[in-house]
Amino acid sequence: MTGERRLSISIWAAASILAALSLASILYGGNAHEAQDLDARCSRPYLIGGDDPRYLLGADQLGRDLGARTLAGIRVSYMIALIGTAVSAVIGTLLGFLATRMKGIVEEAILMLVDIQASLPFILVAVAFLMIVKSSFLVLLVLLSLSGWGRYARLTRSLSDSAMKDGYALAVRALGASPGRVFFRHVLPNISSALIVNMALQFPAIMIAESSLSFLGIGIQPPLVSLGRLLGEGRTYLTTAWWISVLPGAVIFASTLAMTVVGDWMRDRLGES
Amino acid sequence: MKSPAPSRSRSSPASSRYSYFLAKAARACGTVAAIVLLAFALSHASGDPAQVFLGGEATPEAVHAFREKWGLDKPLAVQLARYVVLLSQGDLGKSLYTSRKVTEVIAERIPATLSLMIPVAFLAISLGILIGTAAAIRNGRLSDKAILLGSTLGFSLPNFFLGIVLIFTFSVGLALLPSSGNMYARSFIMPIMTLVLADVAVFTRFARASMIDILGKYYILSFRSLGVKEWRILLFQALPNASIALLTISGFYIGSLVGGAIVTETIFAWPGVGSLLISAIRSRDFPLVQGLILLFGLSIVAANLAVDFLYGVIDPRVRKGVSS
Repeated sequence: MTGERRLSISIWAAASILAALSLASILYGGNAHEAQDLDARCSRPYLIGGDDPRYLLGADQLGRDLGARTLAGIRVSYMIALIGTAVSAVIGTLLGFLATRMKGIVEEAILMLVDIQASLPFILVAVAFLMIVKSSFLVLLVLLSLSGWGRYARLTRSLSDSAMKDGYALAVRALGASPGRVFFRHVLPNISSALIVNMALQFPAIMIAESSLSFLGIGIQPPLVSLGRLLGEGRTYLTTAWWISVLPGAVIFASTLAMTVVGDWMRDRLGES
Repeated sequence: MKSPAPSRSRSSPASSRYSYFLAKAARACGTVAAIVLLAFALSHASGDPAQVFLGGEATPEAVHAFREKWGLDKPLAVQLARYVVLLSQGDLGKSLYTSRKVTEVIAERIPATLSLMIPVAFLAISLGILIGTAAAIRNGRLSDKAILLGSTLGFSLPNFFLGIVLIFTFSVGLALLPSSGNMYARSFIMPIMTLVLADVAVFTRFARASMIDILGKYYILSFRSLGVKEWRILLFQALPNASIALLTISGFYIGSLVGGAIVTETIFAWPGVGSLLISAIRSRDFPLVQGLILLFGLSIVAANLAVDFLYGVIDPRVRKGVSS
């Protein structure tokens, strides 16, 4: 089928975008994104006809290099999305397993929590918490990590519920393996593909959530930069220097798109509920 | 009907006719409790609520009276109970900045938000079903792939970035549309576009998937073999069945509408409840934030509950706990 070929090209493109952006942001070090050059305020990117070749991607309202700021932003945004995805996967999987294992009131309580979480939009809960606790990298990380565990818990519970009744799980149990061993050594590897697909699709969601909060000015706080914060601050200069907000915005879009493409592909390959 | 076997699934025994509705109502109550707790925590945040609500210049008598009124000298559990009683009487306190009743401030912002949300929900759902069905019919062909690509793009485009790009294009560049406020009919175009695009993408994906699923079923095949016209099958057989599935995500959609409203109203300086929330947060107006969180939270719960009930009424399999 011709579709297969086209699909794999888009996967390659998506994966290369993600790899290139994360690699560049990791390699980028130092504080070049903080250095101010007031003569270069809002200077136009050299690549699209600006005057100053030092600012290939332009400079912001304080004359800071936009390329460097974007790289620093990618680092923070990716890190939050990555850690947030991983932590919520671990919490959700453990709670899902706990629900299968304990049954009764524990299961009911966990499922109730999942339901509550699913029906309240993340931004609302985040706003309430950020009113009480001052926003910081760590607070955001915790909030975002706790925002997505529900889906893993639901997935793990429903999948391991049926997997525990499969022949192999019954056999291991009959041999005297503890429930923990049955789950982690035998059931988990069998249901991991669905969990991995969910992680791939959750990464862009967490990234958008962080960017939204930072865009609104209640997420990542200075001196840290995130892509959403850059976009939100550049908004004021849209009439005079549109590149300040369009560059980080385009990077967010490219990242979420690439990750969604990869996630969709994984879902098609691995098959998910 | 079978005797109530010890069911391993969460839904209680199939014998109880109302177990589905009871479970859903219990969930709603749990969520309401969570929201009220959140609001209660907010009202106690940032140190002394009396200082927060009355401001630093309040006289000791006023602080004392306030403490009496809210029972701040009592144990937390008693305070919570009092808080719930006050809430149920519709007393949300006063805004710290305008000294006006929170309920009043919120009430005058609601129409602007609804005037945005209603057309957005209508457009997103109807366009999503239309485009998703079109894609399902042409499953695997080029036009289907184009629609899938388009929905992936729309799905990944963050609404705050789309809003900025629209303002840059139509307000700054072409000077066609106003970038803020809701003064003119033209003002509605960009906020609605911003909100609708991502939502249409979600509904399209979902409608496509469930239509493809349904069109592959045997009863559709049997209608085809009987020579029923394709459009009749689509309209009278496939679509009603697909809309049951669509109903499940519309519950979650209400939550995402609220989230979208907060961001989009802020971008376009839309005088609704979403932008009110953000400005209340910036000025640390605790009573107002607390009132808005209650409003958003409770309306989401109510909508979810309505969808769940409707779902149970329409689809007997759901309320009987039968998996399809």
